[in-house]
Amino acid sequence: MRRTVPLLIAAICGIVLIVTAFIPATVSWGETAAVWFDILAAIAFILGGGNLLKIHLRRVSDQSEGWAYSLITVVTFLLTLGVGLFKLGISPGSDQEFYGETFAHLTVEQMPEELTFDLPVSLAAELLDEEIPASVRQQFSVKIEDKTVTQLRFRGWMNGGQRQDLLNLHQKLDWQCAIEQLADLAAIPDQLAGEVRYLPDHRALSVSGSLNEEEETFLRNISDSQSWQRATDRLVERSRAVTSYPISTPPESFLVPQSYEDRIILTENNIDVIGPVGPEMKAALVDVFPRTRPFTEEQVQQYVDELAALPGGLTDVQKNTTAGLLKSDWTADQLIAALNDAGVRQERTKSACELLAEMQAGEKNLQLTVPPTEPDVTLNAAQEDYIQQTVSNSDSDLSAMVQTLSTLGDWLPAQEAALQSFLQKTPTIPMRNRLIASALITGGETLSEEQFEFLLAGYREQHNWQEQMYGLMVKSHQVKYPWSGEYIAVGSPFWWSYEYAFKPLTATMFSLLAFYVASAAFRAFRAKNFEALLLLGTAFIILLGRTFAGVMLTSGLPESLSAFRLENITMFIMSIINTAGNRAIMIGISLGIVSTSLKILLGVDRSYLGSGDE
Amino acid sequence: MTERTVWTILILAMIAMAFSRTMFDPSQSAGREYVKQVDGEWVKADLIDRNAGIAEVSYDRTAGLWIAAVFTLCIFSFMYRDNPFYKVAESTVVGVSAAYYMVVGFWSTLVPNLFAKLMPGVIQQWAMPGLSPEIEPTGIYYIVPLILGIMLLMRLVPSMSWISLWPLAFIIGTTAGLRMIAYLEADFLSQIENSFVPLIVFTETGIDYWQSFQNTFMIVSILSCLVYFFFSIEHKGAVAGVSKFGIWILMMTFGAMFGMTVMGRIALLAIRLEFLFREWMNIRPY
Repeated sequence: MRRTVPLLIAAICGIVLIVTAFIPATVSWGETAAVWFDILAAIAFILGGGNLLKIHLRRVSDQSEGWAYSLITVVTFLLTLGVGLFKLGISPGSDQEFYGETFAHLTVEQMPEELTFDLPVSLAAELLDEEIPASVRQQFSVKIEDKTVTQLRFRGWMNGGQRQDLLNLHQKLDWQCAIEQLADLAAIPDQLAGEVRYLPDHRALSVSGSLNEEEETFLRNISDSQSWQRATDRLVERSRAVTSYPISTPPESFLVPQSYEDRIILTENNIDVIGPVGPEMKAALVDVFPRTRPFTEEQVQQYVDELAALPGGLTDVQKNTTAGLLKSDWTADQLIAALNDAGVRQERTKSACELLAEMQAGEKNLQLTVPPTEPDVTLNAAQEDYIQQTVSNSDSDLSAMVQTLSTLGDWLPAQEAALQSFLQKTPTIPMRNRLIASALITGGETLSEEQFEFLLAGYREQHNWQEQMYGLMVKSHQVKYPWSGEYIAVGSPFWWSYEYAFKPLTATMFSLLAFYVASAAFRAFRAKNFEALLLLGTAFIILLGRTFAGVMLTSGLPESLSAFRLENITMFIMSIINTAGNRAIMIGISLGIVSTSLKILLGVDRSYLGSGDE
Repeated sequence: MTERTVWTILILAMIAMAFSRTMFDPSQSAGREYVKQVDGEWVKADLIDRNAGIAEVSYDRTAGLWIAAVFTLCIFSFMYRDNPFYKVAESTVVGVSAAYYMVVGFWSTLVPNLFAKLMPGVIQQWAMPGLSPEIEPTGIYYIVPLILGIMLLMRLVPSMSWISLWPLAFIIGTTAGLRMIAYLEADFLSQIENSFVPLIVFTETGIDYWQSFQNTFMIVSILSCLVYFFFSIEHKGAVAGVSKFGIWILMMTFGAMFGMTVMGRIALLAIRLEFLFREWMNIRPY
């Protein structure tokens, strides 16, 4: 029994997997088995750890020879395991923490009736044979009567992702039109859009930033249910909490962004903020440093002269590097091209309901899009001239160009967005200067303290301000998922043990093999016969061909004899001889694996069961 | 002077050199790790960050740097002979690597592939916020690997260790089944398929003699090697000749493999020496 059952398990599992590989409907079984295999492999590591602990603890307790080394193994094992399993010193995952949002617990079942949206429809019931997407499974339901779907129901607001998931379920127009109608019905009201949302997977009603009084009133008026009012109370309380954060002197050009004026109070050494700070708010707070703009030749020369005039001076190479980097900034032509691209009018995609109406009206050749009716907008000569003149003028405000550009010719909102987006992507002057400093000290060159200060003072200020604003964001945030961080996050104790113990130790162990391989080769590889000579000769050519000196040795050969250059011989050996030999070996290995597998599955080879003496 | 005294003096001299280099390095880089804060996380700082005044010495990473360097030297000490320093490093690598693989297996396999399938709601609330809390229809099947896993752990209990043969049989059976198909597809068939190349290569200008020679040579070589592996007939006469040529090709293949292996190990060695000289002691060509 003890040996028969394992034999049967191995045979059945193996043979079933072989058979399923040939049946299209069951091919995925192999993938599932591979996942199960991975799970058991991970558990086998636990088994390995347990065994290790058992053996070494016994040696320590018996104080047998070398017990102190066993103690080291046990201690390092337990320390690494502890810090890794408990994620010690690891912050919550910044991409999973919903910074800037406040959550209030609210399950789908607690959703008020007022937020249950029903849409009467008449759809074939087989449309729902497909599995409902996981993102809507809690909120979406249907009523079926006589093999016809008569009603679609959605609890809570539907977001864009959920709408798309439902649309993707079927390509039939009547289904897609019904989903579009349901999405419109379950859309979040305009008064709350962009601020409040419902996250079914997190069982939470969420608000971004701080909930103002109008939003609060609107939210409260949705339903009188106790759970809804409680959730609203929690959102109001948490989203209006004031966070006070000490700061150094803000950058000279810092002004509280207009859109956040009602939430921020700035005092001399403190910043008070109402509600949690999200990534957008943080980005707005740190976006206070001037951005680069194209330099004219004179401006480049002036910059280089100024840097060269400082103690330490600049070599010719450094001057050229600085000038090259300054000239490689963005250009007015790039901005003009981006604005012209944004001026191309887009086709409008028709909704499924529009297409359904067309189809029901008898249209057979359905067009999915509506071409634009108005021509594209390209910048005229006056607008281009204005851009060319403005971008290099350091006194001008580039983001304010919009007003003039719109008066000089045709101008679209998309172009305004493109202009802001383009300017946002340009580096700040402190970052540009950092790049220059970095380039100037490569290759052994150096800069004086004054030159570093000239180049890096702004970078220091920008970095410090960014970190303070990050600190403000974290302080104003209530941790939602403390265990969500990466288990090997940089800076954590587990990362430390990997970086400073595991990695160097294993790499050095393997590198040590270089000496042993060389020493073994010296002792074992004697050119006693022709075969040994071939092996040695090939190894010698490969080793030599991969070094600079080896290539140098035969570089003097004329073009007619280039086939005998070491790098070409190496290439021939690797691509023809090595490929041929490896191919034959791999064919042999695969046949060996097949025969071994069959022996195991048929119970001929039972060595894995052990001797049975245990 | 005894051997022990010589080694003690040498080790003390090395320690003194390392400390003096750390103390008197003009750029204050030797034996130190500098960090800067980026979005709340401490990351490695470069020379520019130090000149900008935003970097600071990290004591835990500096300690790590020294420990890594000392461990590296301890492992190298084995080239002389087995010694207590090497044994300490060896014991550490055993403990750390066993725990490392356990932690990796737990967080990257067991949590997302096992627990998250069986209890998605709990795992979502605990460690994987991005996970859907809804259980998949196939999620319940994952009770099987869980039970097999528990049976595997029974190996730690001597009286129950026979139970671990069942999951072991599952592992062996699935490996045999999956590998058999995979090797037949990836190695056997694809290697044969890739060997079907034209013996005479025609181009727009005529015959490409060099490419034709290469293709012919490769196919003859593969067939010769396979003849050598074919032990069902006696290797004599023409078969012996072909098989002999196969041996030569295999010898050259082994030579190439050996050369590549040595190069790989030497590259690793160079990386370790680079770590000691550049990262630890900041000794650079300029």
